[in-house]
Amino acid sequence: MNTKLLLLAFSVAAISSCSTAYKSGQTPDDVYYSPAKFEENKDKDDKDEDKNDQALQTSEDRRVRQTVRDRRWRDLDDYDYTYNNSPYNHCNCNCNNYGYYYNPKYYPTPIYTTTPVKNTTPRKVNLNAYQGYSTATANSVKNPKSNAPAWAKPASKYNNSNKTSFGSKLVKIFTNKTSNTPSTSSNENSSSSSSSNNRTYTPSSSSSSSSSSSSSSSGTTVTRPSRGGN
Amino acid sequence: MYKHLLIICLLTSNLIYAQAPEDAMRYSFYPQHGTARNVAIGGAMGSLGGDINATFVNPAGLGLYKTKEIVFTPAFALNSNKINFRETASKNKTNNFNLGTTGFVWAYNNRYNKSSSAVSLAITQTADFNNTIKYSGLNNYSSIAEQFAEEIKYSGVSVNDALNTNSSVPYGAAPALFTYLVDVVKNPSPTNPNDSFLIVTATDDILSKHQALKQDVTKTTKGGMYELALGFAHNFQDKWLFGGTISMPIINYNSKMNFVESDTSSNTTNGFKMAQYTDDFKTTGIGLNGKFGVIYRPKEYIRIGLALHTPMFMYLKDERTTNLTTHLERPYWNSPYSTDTVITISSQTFTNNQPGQSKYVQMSPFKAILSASYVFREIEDVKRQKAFITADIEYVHHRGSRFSSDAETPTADDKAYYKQLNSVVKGTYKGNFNFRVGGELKFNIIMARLGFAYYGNPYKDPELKANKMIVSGGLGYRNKGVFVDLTYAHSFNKDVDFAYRLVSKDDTFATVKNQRGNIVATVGFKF
Repeated sequence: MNTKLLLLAFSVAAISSCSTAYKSGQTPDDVYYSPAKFEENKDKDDKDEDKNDQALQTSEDRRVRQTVRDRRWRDLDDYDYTYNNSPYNHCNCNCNNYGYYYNPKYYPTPIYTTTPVKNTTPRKVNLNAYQGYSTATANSVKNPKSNAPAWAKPASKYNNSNKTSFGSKLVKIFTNKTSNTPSTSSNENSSSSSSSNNRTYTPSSSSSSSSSSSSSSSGTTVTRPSRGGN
Repeated sequence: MYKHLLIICLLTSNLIYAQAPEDAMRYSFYPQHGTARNVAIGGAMGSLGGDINATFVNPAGLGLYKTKEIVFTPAFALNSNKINFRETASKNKTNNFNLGTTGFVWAYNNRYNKSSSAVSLAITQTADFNNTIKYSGLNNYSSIAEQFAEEIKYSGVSVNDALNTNSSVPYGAAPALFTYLVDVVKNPSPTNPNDSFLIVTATDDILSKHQALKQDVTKTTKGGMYELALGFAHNFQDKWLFGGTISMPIINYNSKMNFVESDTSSNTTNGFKMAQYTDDFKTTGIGLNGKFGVIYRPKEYIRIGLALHTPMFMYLKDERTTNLTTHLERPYWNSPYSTDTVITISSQTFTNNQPGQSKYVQMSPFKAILSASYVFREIEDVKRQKAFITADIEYVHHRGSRFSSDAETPTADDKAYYKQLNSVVKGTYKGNFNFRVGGELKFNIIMARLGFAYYGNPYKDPELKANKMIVSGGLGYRNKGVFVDLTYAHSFNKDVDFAYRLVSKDDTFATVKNQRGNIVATVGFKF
């Protein structure tokens, strides 16, 4: 938002400072055709105007221009305003920034300021879920027609409807699983959900499912809260 | 001191970088933006020239300038979305300001050999990311919790490594494990005598009984991609015009997703009540891009243009924080407890109490534009200038987007991820053709314009429908060295939105029909 406001302010200032040269006569349109305008054609009146402007320039303007042209004029600048001569500046000879704050009046030793280590884990997604992802497994599965490696996920497989197919309706009738029937035991929960669950837990590291052992990461283990009271 | 600095450097240099395939589209699938005059004629500027927006389309068009001008283009967008998610329709609206092409053009003329040159410095909002989409629907097929479970399965991370202050899966799997939306339990199957474990979710039981979960999704995106460009063109005797632009894309993208999944049944003992997942991330960065073009005028009223845009090399940084709240009902898996549990966690717990950060390099696809224009009465007398028509055909190689690490020596894991990511981009997207056509009628100092543009589907899969169709019209006034243009462009956009993706199941997505009214005004001065 700040960037937009700055741009807006800059643009308004720039536009408002413009004085167009086409206040009278036709305004050219470069999309169609516009006449070339040469610098030599500048009106005599404009030149006279420039001369008058020069005459009105103050002595301060002249001094500034002299300063730009000739280094010796810069020495006339006010001594007290220069940063390097400030009485509060302890660094008189070599003004390198050492990266730490040092105040001998209050602290006998330098105080190092460090920022905490960033977790740089990327905004990763499971690429297996996209078309075009080919794994070693997918490569081993060949298309019988083209003999080309199959994708991990076939194209055009979407489910955007809650309507069940005839086959799944039959399964539902014969399994007699009525909706809203509460599961009464935790074991039943586990078995019903795991009946079609192929998400096996096979971590590549040696840690178990318990949350008490140490971690292989550089951080520390985060302990999970209790699942609830009695 | 050096020891301290060395330790800090070693710790911070352990960078891993990666992104998602959807990031590729953000910086390539957008309509032409520009001055009000250019937007009114559908954005066609591949051969017409004489407009500062040529800087961003075909810089050779700057060669038609013989004068100097400065322009300012504010714009206001009105978004209206109609979304269908699992046979449930939703609507929402959102509005925002944006910036059209703003800058100046400076032309120099050579009186002796009838040639001229022009330089432009301009900024424009190439892509406007401001929008909010909201949708909800019943889902008896899949759950976002399954995405987190699959993240554990396919990453091979252990529970202990996931639940760590410097976790490798801090944004989804770790919060899901922490709040027990996802857990690891002993496999109860009697056919499996070994001590094997399964990754289960709190919603498995509901879905296994074909009961529906209610899913509510709100995605708010803000920001834009801006381009600051320096263009140059040379006009050889009004016959051949050559131009080039060096531009610096400036990216500022903010995304916030709020996903709520809840049990729709009256059953209070099926283990799951509700989960709310928020995902905030922002992308910032800058890049570099070149645009080169040529315009040939076989006759004074015909212009043929060709332009090539190099890929944008963007150095980007993402910062991300997610939050998850899970409301579990009793009984939960093998838990002996009998009361409900509500647990909330932020991903910052797993990213050293600060937003996670990743840096990477992204390369947008190249573009090629072929264009032709016919200008009626291309003469100096403004009163006798009558009209023009112009059309562009643009090819965008969407599947050519590439991601890579910004590290000098990326790890093997980084290389493998980026290789697969680029493979997925190639497999998901395709090159497409875009068409822009427009014209103007000129009545001395008043002009009337109409335009049309069509941007084709970038998805390879024909089931995913996405395109943009823009109808535009506008008026212009040009007199006494000042020009004012006003345009209204109405876009009909189609796209798809995936709240999550699964490996083990078919994906579900929302179809988004967006209508976007864009009011663009340009004020300019000739001098």
